[in-house]
Order: sequence, then C-alpha cells, then structure tokens
Amino acid sequence: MADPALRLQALVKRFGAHAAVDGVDLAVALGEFVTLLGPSGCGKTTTLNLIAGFLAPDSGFIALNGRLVQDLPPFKRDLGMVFQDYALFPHMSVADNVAFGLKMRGVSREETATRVAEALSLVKLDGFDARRPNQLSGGQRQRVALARALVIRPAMLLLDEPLSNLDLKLREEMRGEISALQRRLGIATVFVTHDQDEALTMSDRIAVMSEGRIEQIGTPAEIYERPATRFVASFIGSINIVPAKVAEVPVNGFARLETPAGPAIAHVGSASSGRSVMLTIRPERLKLAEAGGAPAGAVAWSARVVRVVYTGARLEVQLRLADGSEAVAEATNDGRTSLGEGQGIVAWFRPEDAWIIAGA
Amino acid sequence: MIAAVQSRPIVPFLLVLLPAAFLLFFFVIPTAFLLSASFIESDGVIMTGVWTTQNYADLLSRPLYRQAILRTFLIGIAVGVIVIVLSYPLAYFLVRTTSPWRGFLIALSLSPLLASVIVRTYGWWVILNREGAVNTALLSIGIIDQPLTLLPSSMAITIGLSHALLPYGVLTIMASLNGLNPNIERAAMSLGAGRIRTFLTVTLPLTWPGIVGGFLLAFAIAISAYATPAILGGPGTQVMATLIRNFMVQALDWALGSAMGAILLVSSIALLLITSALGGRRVG
Ligand SMILES: Nc1ncnc2c1ncn2[C@@H]1O[C@H](COP(=O)(O)OP(=O)(O)O)[C@@H](O)[C@H]1O
Ligand SMILES: [Mg+2]
Repeated sequence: MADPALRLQALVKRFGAHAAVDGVDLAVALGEFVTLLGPSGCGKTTTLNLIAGFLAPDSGFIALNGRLVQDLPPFKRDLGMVFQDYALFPHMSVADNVAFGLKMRGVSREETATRVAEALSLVKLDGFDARRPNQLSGGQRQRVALARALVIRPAMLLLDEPLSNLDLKLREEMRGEISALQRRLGIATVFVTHDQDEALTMSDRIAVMSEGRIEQIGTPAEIYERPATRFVASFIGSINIVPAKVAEVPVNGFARLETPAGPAIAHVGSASSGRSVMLTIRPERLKLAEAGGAPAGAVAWSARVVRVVYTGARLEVQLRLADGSEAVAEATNDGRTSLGEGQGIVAWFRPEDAWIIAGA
Repeated sequence: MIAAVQSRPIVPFLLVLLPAAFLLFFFVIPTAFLLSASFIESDGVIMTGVWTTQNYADLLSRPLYRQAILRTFLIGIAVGVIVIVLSYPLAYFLVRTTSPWRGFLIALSLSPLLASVIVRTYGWWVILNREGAVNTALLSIGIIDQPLTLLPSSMAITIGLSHALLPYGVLTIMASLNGLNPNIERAAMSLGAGRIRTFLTVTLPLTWPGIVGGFLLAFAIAISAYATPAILGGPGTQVMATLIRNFMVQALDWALGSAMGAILLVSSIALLLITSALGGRRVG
C-alpha cells in the first residue's frame, strides 16, 4: 500500500504547561480532503503549523509521503499553505505573489509566466496580474492565496479557516469552488475550520478536535450519525441527549433502556460498557404523532408542545417530555401540520435512529 | 439654536490656537529672524540693516567652515547607518522573542534614553581617552605599544552619537516589525524561501519605512547635536553646531552664526524631504 500523503503520530506541542496539541494521530490518504473541525482554541492552527514546520513538536512524528519531516524547515517541506488572513505579500502585484514560489524554485521565466497565468485562471482571476492585494476584495485575495499555494504543485495543501473572513454568500460559493478544485487536482488537503457546515459539505473525512485531541475521525455521515462522544454529538448539528440506564444486556446491537421520559430501545452505538449511558436522537429523526399514532416497533413518549418555531422549510417544535426535560423535534413544513402550544402529543423514533454514547 | 451652531467651532479653534501660538512664538518667529539675520550685514552683534549674501560667501569660501559642514553631514549619515545596522537585529529579536525576559530586554535596549547626554558622553570619554579603557586593554594585551589618540576625533563623535541614538532606531524599527504580520514571512517560507531570502524579499521591503524613519531621526538629531561633538571632538573636528556656538558666543559674529544656522536648517530639511520621498516608495 502506498504511503499516505500525511501521517501524524502521537504529536504533542506544549506552550508552557498547556498542551495545545496533545497526542494527535492522523493519516491523510493521497488525494483525500480531511477537515480538522473544532471550537476556537482547540489546537487546529497549532496542528497545521506543526505540519507546515512553523512550529517544532515537543514529541511525535510527522511524515509526508512516507518521509519523516519533523526536522525539516518549512521551506523544504513542499507544502502549499493558505492562511486565515491570506498573508499575501502587500508590496507585490498579484502576478508576483503567485510567481513567488516558482521564483524560489528557480523555474524559468517563460514557464513561470505560463504557470502563473494557468493558476490565476484556475481561480478565475484572469487579468488581475497587475493589481496589488489592497486593490482586491476579500474573495479575490482568498483566490490569490489559493493560486499562490497551488502554483508550486505542492505535495499537499493546508488551509487554515480560509473562508472565515468572507461574507455568507461568498463563503458558500467558495466552499463549492475549493472542493471542486481539490477534487480536480487530486491534491491531499488538510482543511481547518470551526464551521460544521463547511466540514460536513466539503470533506472526505472529518477529524473532530477538542482541547488538543482528536475526539473522532470519520466520514461526515459517520460523524453526524454515529458520534463517538458527547462532545462530537453536541458540537455537530443539534441533538437531543437523554440520560438513560441500560435495563437488559444488549442483543443484536440494540439495548433496552430506562429513561426519565419513558422506556426506550436504541442502537448500542459507541457506549462499550457501563450501565449509565446517554441516548441521543437528532431532531429530524424525532417524529410527532397524535396519541396512539406511533407506528409499531417505534419508541413512543408522551410530550407536550412548548413552542413551534417557524423557519420556513421546517418547523422546529420544542417539546417538554414526561419528566419535565426539554427536547426538540424538527418537522418538514408540509402545510398540514397544526400544532398548538400546550398541546399533548406523542414523540416517537425508530430504535435504529437513536444512538447510545457513554454516559457522563 | 443659532447661537449653538455659531459657537460650536470656537472650542476646536481655541484648542488649535494654543499650540499654534506656541509654534509661532518659539519656532516660526525665531526661524524667520535667523533666516533674515543671515542676509544682513553685521558688525559683531550689531545688525547694520544692509542686505547682503556676503555671509554665505564667507562661510562657503573658507575651507575650515566647508569642512565643518561636510563633516557634520558625514557624521550624520554614518550615525544613521550605524544606528540602523545595530538596531535592526536587536529590534527583530525583541519583537520576535518569546522569552519571559522580553519586557526587561526592551527596557534595557531603551535605557540610553534615560541617562543624561552629558553623563553618557563622558562615559565614552572615559573609555576612549589616552589613559582610557580601550588603550589600557590594547596596551596590556600588547597589540599596541603606544596609546592611540582616539580623542578628539570624528570617530569618537560618531560612536558617542550612535550609542545615544540607538534607542530611536530600535523604537522605529520595532514599530514597523510589530506592524508586520508574521504569517507573511511564514507564507514566504512555505513557498520555498530560506531565512535569508525571506528576509530580503519580504521582511526588509515591508519594514523599509521603519528603516528610513529611524535613519532620518538619527540623522536629524546627529547633525544638530551639540554636547557630544563638544565633548568628544576638539578644535580640529568642529561640526556646524559647535561652530554656530563659537560664532554666537565667542566670535560674536551673529551674521555668520545665523548663516550657518540657516544652512543647517535648510540642508537638513532638504535631505529629509529627499529621503522620505525615497522611503515612501516601496522597494521590491
Ligand atoms: N504561540 C503561542 N504561545 C502560547 N500559546 C499559544 C500559542 N499559539 C497557540 N497557543 C494556545 O494554544 C491553544 C490552541 O491554539 P490554536 O492552535 O491557535 O487554536 P485554534 O486554531 O484551534 O483556534 C490556545 O489555547 C492558544 O491560546
Ligand atoms: Mg486557528
């Protein structure tokens, strides 16, 4: 099997007593788009800076295409990096910015001109050669930064929250463009963001980080539907979390539970052992019905409607369960739903849509 | 309502009036007086009221005066260059270090500002005179067998001024380095530029305004400095400031003193304008 484009092993970086990166293991396959997702301050930028060589790890290994690089300076690592603030050279034109890496590699004048033009056209900035960075919009600067990183045909692309400084519309547009570009060039990419939507829509795999550690690595669907920890479950999307006790030894991957809201059956999920667990259920998988209207085999709890929030395509129904705790169900707005505040109702879900995680 | 609208501009007007009056009385009027005095024939301290350009002709025709003018500017340029060359690495270190001693080291680098110019300059006198520290050290190692005459000299003046003005260079360059986004240097490195190339292609051009500013500040202060040339120089190493004092206080020739003052003023303003025009343009 070919070496992965990037492998991090037991990577640790401390600032004083505080470990900003605390034992990170990660492999990025050739051509793969992996996102580091986590809240601000969880160590994403530090991890990227370790990969790029701007910081030296306190321990652990970094291998690029099977070669250990943790002792190489950044200028020998052959990585394309896009910074959160773009870090364009303000004293150079767009063309000179993009040509910089080629100049450092001693590429001939003609080839440089061709490749710069190619790169600028790749990011749809044809004809912007002579502009200065301060004459560009945020989105255009971002494209220059991308062209500058890609033109050197790096072994790997590192992107540190490249979209966070753009307005919403442009951000969504650039998401698609960066993904398409990455797929077209087939370049292994580590993308850093704190935005779950970006992570879910762009990535082949997501590594969810918290406090310097990777909590879970998986495809967007795995991360969303099979969260390994409470942190992952609640960081991505909204979710109902109900404390529960395992009532019987699980059979066939399903466990019978006792919860304050009523008995339940749910997917064993990531809780490997223990009696105290958490039952998790996404709002869009929690359905509503008239009393006695839940299908056979479903878990049905009686509930009361607290509030209905109208969001256009969807209705967000806030519920109070039997024990007084709150839950949220999300229904598509089919125009036939009439729910009044205080109305008694049945909230139901299929056992395979509920996922158990270890209790806390 | 009308009164309020009318009275509004008065406060800013008053606020500007005070510094404007200060500038007028203590800078514009004396400068105008100096400039006009330099064009008037004088008999000692008595202005005759006859207009003339003879004062300038006198100054520029005598080698002693011409040399003093040239020496002043050469010392100014040398001090500017030395200050920049020494303060750049220091400022770079102070801005980028993560040492817990950073604050202390910055204070230490700026400490020459705290010592009085006389004390500082006599410090150099103690080091450089015939029986001073340098000669004693060189003699005892045996590199020389006769003490060197390090004082009075242009070199001693240059050393004394460079030391005194180092903090100005450190401050202006630190300010421009602080304004430089470290990610820009990282970007250059990630694109394959080694440390030296990163410095030459990115750091240096982007901190060029700080370099020019530090140079100008050091240069401007150095050419008008009086105390340091008076202590570390001598009759053979007169600069414009010491000559002006001689004209005004010893020779009592106010006309020549004014003309020399005018040359100092005009030529330093001209040089400042030229250099800042160069500095305003970005290198790269
Ligand atoms: N140069 C540094 N010195 C000290 N602490 C740092 C430094 N860089 C980052 N940290 C700390 O390390 C943690 C992780 O930072 P960072 O990697 O920038 O987080 P993220 O990019 O995920 O927001 C934070 O607590 C931050 O304060
Ligand atoms: Mg960050």
